[in-house]
Amino acid sequence: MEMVNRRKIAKTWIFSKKIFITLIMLSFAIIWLLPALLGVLTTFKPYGEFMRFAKTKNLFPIEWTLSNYQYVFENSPASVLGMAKNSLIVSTSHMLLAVFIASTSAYAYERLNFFGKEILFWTLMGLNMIPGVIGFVSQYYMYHDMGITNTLLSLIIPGLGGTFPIFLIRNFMTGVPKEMDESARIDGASEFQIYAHIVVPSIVPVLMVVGMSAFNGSWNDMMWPSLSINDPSC
Amino acid sequence: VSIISKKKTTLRLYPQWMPLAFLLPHLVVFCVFQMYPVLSGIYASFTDWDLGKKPEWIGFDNFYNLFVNQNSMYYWQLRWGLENTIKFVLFCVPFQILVPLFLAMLMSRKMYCSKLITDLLYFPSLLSLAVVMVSWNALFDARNGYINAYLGFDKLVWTVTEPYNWIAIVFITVWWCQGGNFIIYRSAIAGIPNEILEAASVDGANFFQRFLHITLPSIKFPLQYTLIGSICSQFGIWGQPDMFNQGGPVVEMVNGYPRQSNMMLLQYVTEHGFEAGQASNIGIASAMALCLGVLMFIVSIIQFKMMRRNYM
Repeated sequence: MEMVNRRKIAKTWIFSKKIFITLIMLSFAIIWLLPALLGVLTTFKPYGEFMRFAKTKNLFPIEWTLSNYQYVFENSPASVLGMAKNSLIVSTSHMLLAVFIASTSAYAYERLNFFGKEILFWTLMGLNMIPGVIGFVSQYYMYHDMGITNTLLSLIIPGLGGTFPIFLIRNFMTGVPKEMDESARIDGASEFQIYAHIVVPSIVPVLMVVGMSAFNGSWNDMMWPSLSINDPSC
Repeated sequence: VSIISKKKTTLRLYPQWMPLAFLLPHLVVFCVFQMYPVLSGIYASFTDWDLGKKPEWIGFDNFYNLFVNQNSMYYWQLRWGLENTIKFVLFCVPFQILVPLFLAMLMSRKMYCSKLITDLLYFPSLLSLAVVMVSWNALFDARNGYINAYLGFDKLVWTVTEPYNWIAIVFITVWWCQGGNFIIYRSAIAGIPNEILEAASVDGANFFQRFLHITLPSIKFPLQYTLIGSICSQFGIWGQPDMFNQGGPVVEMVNGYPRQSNMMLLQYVTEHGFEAGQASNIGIASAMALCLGVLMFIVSIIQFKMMRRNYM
């Protein structure tokens, strides 16, 4: 009886400790997110309510309204939908191109043999360590000369040449058994078929990682678009 | 002894040009859009170039103006910009390591909904800079900001008061950027075998001792990796001061040139180098960017050497 009781007490003790830590961390996470949450709440306040905040000190809107959203979707100089469409086009094509370029290149380094393979690979890795900020200004004037500033293309291209994704994909690809593509090769598959039908399906996880980070980087980039797109008419 | 040679025989059924076909997309993009701008940037920093005219080779004049000539505005701007950037890195990076490490240590306890809490703590890193700055500008607003209203800083103008604008910018950056490091530490700490920690606590090591002698050494590699990543990315600081207070208040005049308290080097570069700014002197802007780039390169080489000595 005593044993059972003691075990029960120990169990409740562990349980309450877990609950305690969970509550602390949960409240901490909510405080951490507060700035973003307050931003969301402010979107439901009518125009001018925020300006009286020092007096009213209300976190939640006194009077809930959707007029801000109506303004953004209908009346503002450019509809938010159009801007979201542009962002989506840019980020999605950047992601797809980044995945395609990095994975084809990694396939060549990992599965094909050619003269100077390792030298080329590590040279590219080394060159990639040069900070891109050095070419930051002249990149703009290069795009200017090519006539692609103020187009979506100028936002898609930067960052596609990075070599780190190739390194990642190549490392992952070594885990895919070579026997599979060798047997396909004997059966008469072309290299591109092997790449598309055998290798790519088996490296989806790393392609997801590369694609997600490319999408995120492109979506959250602020500096280059604000400098490259400077003609308000387009 | 096997008759067949141990050397791997590879069967080549593809034509010689095949590797090139796979390499070409990346090589073209790399050379044209990554290496060419760097090379022409280096060239441009030795030229006199502004928007209306062709670049004209002037040798080291730009660097003379940047490093030696105290009468030049650019001398002071490079100094102030570099000073502020390094100051920012020194303030920001320790917090960017310690805050996520602290959070990850707390999260290593047994608890419920740990996935949800991890996601919530990571969430700010998914926001774009514009969203972050709009929310935080509302919080730091002098008259109607939540922080002044609730925490009782009476009418403190965060954007122009000298130590407070730094605190605000560092705070915003840590809030925004800690997520990636947090995820890395969290998975590294989760990977430490439980037996070691249990053995240590049986032997009487307290929480702090276990942290110092077991957890820290086991996550040494992720720690160094995130340190490099954080330093290199924070050298490129631009958006937070630019959207928070446009470089901050003028704190003093030197030789008739205004010194702004939060102006980072990259802000001077964009001001001189781009059509969106004044595009007054592209050569100088390139030279400034080259200085920043060399600094970043040196930092990353040092760190790379350190990692190599310890791990390879």
